[in-house]
Amino acid sequence: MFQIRPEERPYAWLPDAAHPETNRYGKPIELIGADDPLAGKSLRINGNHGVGDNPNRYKQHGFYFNADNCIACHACEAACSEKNDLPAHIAFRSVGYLEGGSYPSSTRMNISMACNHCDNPVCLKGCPTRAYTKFAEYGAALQDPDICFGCGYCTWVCPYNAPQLDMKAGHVSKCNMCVDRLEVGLKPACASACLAGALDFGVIETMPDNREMLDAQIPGFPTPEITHPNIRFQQAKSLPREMRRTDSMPLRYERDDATKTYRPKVAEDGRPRAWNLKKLRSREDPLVVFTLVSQLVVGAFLLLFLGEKLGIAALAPAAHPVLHATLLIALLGFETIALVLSTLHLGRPHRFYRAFNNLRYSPVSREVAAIAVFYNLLGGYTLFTALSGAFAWLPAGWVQGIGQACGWGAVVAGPAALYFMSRIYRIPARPFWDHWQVLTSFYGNMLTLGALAVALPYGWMLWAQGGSSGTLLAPLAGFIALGLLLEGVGLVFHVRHLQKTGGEGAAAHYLQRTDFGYAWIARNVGMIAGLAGALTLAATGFDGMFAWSALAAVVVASALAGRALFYVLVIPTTMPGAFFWRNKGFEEHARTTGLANLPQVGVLPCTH
Amino acid sequence: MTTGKRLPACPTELEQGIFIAAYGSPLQRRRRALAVVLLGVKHTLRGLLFSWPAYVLGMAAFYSGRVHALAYLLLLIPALAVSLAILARGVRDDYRNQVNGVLLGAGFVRGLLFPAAP
Repeated sequence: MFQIRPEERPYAWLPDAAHPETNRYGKPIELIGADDPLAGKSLRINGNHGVGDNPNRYKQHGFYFNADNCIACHACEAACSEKNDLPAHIAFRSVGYLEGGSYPSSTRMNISMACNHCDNPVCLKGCPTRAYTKFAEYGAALQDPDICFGCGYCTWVCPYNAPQLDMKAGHVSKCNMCVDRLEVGLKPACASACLAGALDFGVIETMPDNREMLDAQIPGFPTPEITHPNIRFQQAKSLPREMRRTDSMPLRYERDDATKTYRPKVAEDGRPRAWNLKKLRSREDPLVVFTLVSQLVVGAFLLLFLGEKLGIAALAPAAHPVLHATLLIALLGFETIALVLSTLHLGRPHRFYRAFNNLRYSPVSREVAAIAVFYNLLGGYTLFTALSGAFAWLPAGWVQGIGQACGWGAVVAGPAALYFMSRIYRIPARPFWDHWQVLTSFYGNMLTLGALAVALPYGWMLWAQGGSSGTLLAPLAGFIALGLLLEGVGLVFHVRHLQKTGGEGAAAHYLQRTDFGYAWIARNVGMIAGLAGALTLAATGFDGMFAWSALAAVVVASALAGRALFYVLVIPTTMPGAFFWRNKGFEEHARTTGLANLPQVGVLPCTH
Repeated sequence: MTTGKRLPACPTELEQGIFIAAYGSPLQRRRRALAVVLLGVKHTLRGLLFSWPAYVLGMAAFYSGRVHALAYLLLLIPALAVSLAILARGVRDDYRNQVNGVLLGAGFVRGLLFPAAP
């Protein structure tokens, strides 16, 4: 049990206030009844089997933040870091700022934020390893770093930036509500350390003494509808109509007079259009390769397996048996590389098998499972068709039957895997991704890259043999055009959607048009040129392989740039950062100038 | 001396002395060696379940001509290196957590192969 200090002050103790039966979202505050089998069990904190005597042990607790009182002293951050023994680059709680008005009547609003132990914990549902548990005790959403394998998906789905991915340790960790302190009746370390009476803690929907508001939102706070967070606010002091972030995100918050809430808008600051090709590299580079290669492999396999059935006679295995077999084996090799890259992207690659632990809720688990099934079936099909000679000891009918069964299974599993892959990115906390365009882009790339992966080897081989490949290449050019068209239509609707909805998605698009403007235009021009080229090749049946290679270079470069932009542009609905801490602009500066080499700066020099 | 116990859990010098003596005994050494083998087999089998198609490349190299074989081996070797590195890391991690510095009881095999949720 937590050792209570003899001089513990009265404000550090949890109050026992009356509360309503349900919270504002209609969920009971009393999480379990007295006769529930979960009642009276130990939390076994640090191996201790004791059970706390807190009378409100099975009630949903939450933080209370009075923005009027916060002076941004960061005592809550320091207390949290000390209590949890955190390294300098990790903070479970952080204080960010919003500024408004102009001198001399400028205003600053400070926000201290940690995990809100939500009613609908999206981190728990998203985690593929089931490292998260929503406890009946205090309603705490706790995470076990020992189970986590460091994929970081919880950091994507959380709108409050609560889970912290420690690149050094290779796992995520987060606020644990100081449940050891709660067990003995003390408030969490951060709330106990608050100097200004801004941060408090207690049973949710109860108001601390001398407070007058119990709001679910303040300016800069993402919509509570995503996760139903257990935090309540007071912000009674009048603020300017427009508040700006002090970090590098191009976002401002504008008051909506009808609802009296602040909504995020794009803060256009007239920044120039640039290439920033170096900044297209990110921690997600392995995912750029993994997603594109997987789409290529699925598309190429579908063409190799279904080509003959679709009327492309040259793709029949018997037409060019050596090339057909070679391509299948090469596809297997490429998918192996893609899977290796995606595994090495994890903080703990050797725990990769835990990705299957949450098939019920996590899109990551479903994607990994579907890709694994496709990979195994592709392996089976390759083994029993391309290397059927190794199975001469089996009856010929068996070899062919098993091969066909694996092939048809892979025909279903491949597109299903790409569908689940797209679901990973449908995250309300990342509005730039949360659009059906992700699916059209993934299926579009499947058609485009898959058709290219088949067209080039077949085309060059037939060219080398002096034969005509027009009848084969024309339909493949049609697939390329269809893929580019599908992706292009999705992108047009995506931009219209971002402009209509505003907020973080539109801010990401603003970065797309400015910081990465030339790269974005080049990608779009590449797509249009690729579409025109593919349509021409499809209509004319032209089989000049240098033209085909040029088309491939343009299409692949566009796909690479598009996917890299997809990952680097996204702006999450996180809380505002500070001037230095939680400021992406400062982090980049620290890495460029070498400041990040000083551990006390709190920025890791390398994010890979 | 209770099995499953670690040295820091022994409060007195006498208990620590007994622990060290028991930990170095031939029985415990044999159990630790067996544990390494079992962990290796467990992680290899689990890895194979997901990575066996990569080894088709090896078969392809065996059955095809020299140029193709080289290409397949070039694809296979990095995959093999990474899967071995992942395998070694998994075994090392489990050894550190479940075997090293622990007195292994008679039923340790079950605990190694089917560990309880942390």
